[in-house]
Amino acid sequence: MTDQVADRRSRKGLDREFYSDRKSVREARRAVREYAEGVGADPVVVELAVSEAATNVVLHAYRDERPRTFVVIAAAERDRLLVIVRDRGIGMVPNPESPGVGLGLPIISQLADTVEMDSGPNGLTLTMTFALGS
Amino acid sequence: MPESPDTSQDGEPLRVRGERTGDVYTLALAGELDISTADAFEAELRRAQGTDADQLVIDLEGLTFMDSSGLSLLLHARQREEAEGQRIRVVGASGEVRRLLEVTRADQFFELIDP
Repeated sequence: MTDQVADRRSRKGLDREFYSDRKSVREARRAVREYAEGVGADPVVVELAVSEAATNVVLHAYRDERPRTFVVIAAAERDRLLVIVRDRGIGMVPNPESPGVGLGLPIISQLADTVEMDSGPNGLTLTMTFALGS
Repeated sequence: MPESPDTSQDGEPLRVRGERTGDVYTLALAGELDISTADAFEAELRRAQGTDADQLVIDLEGLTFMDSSGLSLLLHARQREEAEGQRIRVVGASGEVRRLLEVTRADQFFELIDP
């Protein structure tokens, strides 16, 4: 059984859903890295940013034992690569039991050209853009 | 010479090899260090810091990927350095791994030795 729930790759981009578990972080970043390489974005930067975003989902989005999922979308638009990581968790709320040191979002902010966060009770959507042609 | 199980066969792409030579304990990492493999590294790291070796060398040359899950373990090890009385050197960080250390400015917390 694969962690990949669905693969709906289209001409326009990548659209995949992953189970919210630790192994999926690797699968998600590899998928986006491959896509980034194909469209001319810096694969190293994109891979690291997606790894951080997916790790945040695994650590913070769902705080119960039920298996959940998150969606990763990547699409090339003119001179930029758009990457969206979306979950249906509890949004950005403090997590006193967090095992991390809070480096994920600062790293993403350093790597991406733009970062937008839409957080609410129905989840967090993280939208990042990266330059093409690097 | 302690060595963590090679978990690459069951899909965990990190190998951590520990070796002590005199007063130097070396941990050599190969593969990918992220949230799915951090536990294996942390166990070896704590084992190494629990020895009476004067120096701990963390060799990242074989790493092809590391994110904040690995970086946070390095920073925590650095925090324990003084209490353990063991000097830490990080060697072999290049490419993507080096970039992570620079982006986060974590390079200032370690004595980085080029490969």
